[in-house]
Amino acid sequence: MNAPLPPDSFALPLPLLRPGDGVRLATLAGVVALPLVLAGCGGGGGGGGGGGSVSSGLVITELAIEVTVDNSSAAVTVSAAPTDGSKIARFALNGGSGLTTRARDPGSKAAAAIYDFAIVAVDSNTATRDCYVAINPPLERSLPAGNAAVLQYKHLFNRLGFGASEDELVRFRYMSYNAAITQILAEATIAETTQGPPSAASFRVVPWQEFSALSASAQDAHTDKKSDLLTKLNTWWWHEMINTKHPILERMALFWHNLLVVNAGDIFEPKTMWTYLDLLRTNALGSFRDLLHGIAKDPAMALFLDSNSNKKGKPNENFGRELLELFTLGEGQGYNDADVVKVARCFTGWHVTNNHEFIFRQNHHDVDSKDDIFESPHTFTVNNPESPDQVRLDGEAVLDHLLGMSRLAIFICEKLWDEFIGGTRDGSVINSWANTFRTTVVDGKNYQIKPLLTAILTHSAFTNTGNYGNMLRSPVELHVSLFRSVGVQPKKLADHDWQANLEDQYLLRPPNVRGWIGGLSWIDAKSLLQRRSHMQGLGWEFFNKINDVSHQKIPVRLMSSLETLWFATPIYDQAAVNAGAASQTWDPFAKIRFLLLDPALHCK
Amino acid sequence: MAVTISQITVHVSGHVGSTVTRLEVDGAEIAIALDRTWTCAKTVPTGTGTRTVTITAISPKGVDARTVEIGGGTAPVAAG
Repeated sequence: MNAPLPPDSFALPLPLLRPGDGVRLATLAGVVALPLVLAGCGGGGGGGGGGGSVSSGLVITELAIEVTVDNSSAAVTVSAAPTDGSKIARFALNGGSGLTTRARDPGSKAAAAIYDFAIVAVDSNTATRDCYVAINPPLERSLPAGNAAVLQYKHLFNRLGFGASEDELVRFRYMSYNAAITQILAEATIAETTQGPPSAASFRVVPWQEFSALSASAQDAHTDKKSDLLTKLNTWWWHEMINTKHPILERMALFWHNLLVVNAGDIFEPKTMWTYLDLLRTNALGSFRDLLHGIAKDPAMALFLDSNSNKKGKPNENFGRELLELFTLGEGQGYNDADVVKVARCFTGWHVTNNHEFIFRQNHHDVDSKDDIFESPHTFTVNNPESPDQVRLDGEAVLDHLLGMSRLAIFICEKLWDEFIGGTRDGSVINSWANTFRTTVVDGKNYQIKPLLTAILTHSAFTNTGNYGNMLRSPVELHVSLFRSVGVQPKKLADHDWQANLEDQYLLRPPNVRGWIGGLSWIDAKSLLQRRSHMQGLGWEFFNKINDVSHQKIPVRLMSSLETLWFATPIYDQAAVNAGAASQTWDPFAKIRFLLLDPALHCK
Repeated sequence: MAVTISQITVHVSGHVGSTVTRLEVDGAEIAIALDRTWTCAKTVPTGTGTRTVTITAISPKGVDARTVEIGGGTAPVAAG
């Protein structure tokens, strides 16, 4: 006779156990390894479609379940199970040797594959219990919304990773936070991009003399080509930000872009802008010493700040002033206008060729002594060296002197605080980070960015739960996170590039040398309307991706977890979301479109 | 007298592509064999708590993760 067991007969609270699903096993004593056999053929159940393709990266080919019960004397079997000598019920996915084949591994992000099985125990009665193994269970069980670790990693990736993806969250939620930070930073390497270099990288710079000799139509065609390649350079970076496995690298590159500003509209040369972006990305997590020396010789920067007109006798102060004011020390921090001129004189002759390559033109260099640069106690003098090599070192001597000033590290840490923590700075905390920044040496170089980020990301000033969701996402962060977190591609990246421009963050085209102000300034009356209008349109883009049954872009299983993946804080107006969704019964996923309109979406 | 499940162990096996450089089970690294196969086992709690195992493959192309859940009763439609 078959008799259902009461629910409490297993000391195993099963979340998916329905009322009445309880099972009852015969009385057992002791412990025995119990093979579980799969009953039926429930593999691949659950519907919902989804990507379905098995990734070439990771494939599960076999699952086995071993159950130990508290009594070895009862006759316990698993229904219709192929078992081996070890009494472990095994089944193969996507083919297997000698095993019952079940539905294959559905792949990442796809709908769940569910494999049913039943435990049967025979004592004086026969009792059964249905169980299952699921690959890709609903996200709310692998990523519980209120789980502290999930929230912590969401905060991390929202601030330094353009939003949290399912893969990132499920990967790290069981790892200790400090270990995860170490792992994330150790893995982050520029060598691992998701695509080849942009076409801008191989587009020759045409010198102006050559360009002038072209016909008017050829000039127009060349200009159009450059415009197109600059747009593609932007979309190349967008693609990287959305798809990279090292979002912290791209996020830091964006940070450096906003500190060491160059505007592509001014330069209007694809290869030169690629060289600049490549410098930022290559050094995004390396040594700031390398980055600073690199940016001082970067052709785009030199052109942007008029270095070609910085000559002996007629120093152009642009680069020298921004070097001190915006790149290293901050306004009024230990220098005066006379120092700016002296610094500019040190960089005279640091020019760019017509092919946009750095060149030191000795004949334009001011070899006279530059005495008493900077205010006490950081005063130093650049003597008038005589050999060309020494002369060129004038500018490098300034850079190295700046790197020796304690203020520089504090300045960078203040910028990082404003970018990733926000609110009132804590001077003592910043000083401690600055000390780490100055003193941690790798390969003979200090100003290591990874150790600095470790100090910041593991500090309570960053991890404090009170910080969750209390900053505004920039337009780029907002757009990238919506796609990155659900693992799908925008319909047209260039549209998002332009839309971000309308929302006041045009990538590689900051408004001026000071960059984007950020913070609360991301949203004003104009940009708010742009954001809301775009979110309405984006709702339909997601609608199409969900309902594109021929190639479903967004697995249905993600739908119930969009709040977890998209939002850093609870929904601001849950009632409006619910009411909106309820009003459009024709669309089972209407909630998505109303989630996109919730104000909390803009917080990180 | 009812039987009590005192322990459930999940054995998961599979293979990874040649570009995968690191494989983790719930955040802990496991070995990849020369033939690119791997296997792991995890005992999941029989009391309250999560009964999932997450396998994550890391390659230059990105992160590929799979969560495996052990459940009782019939899986609800929502699981799909």
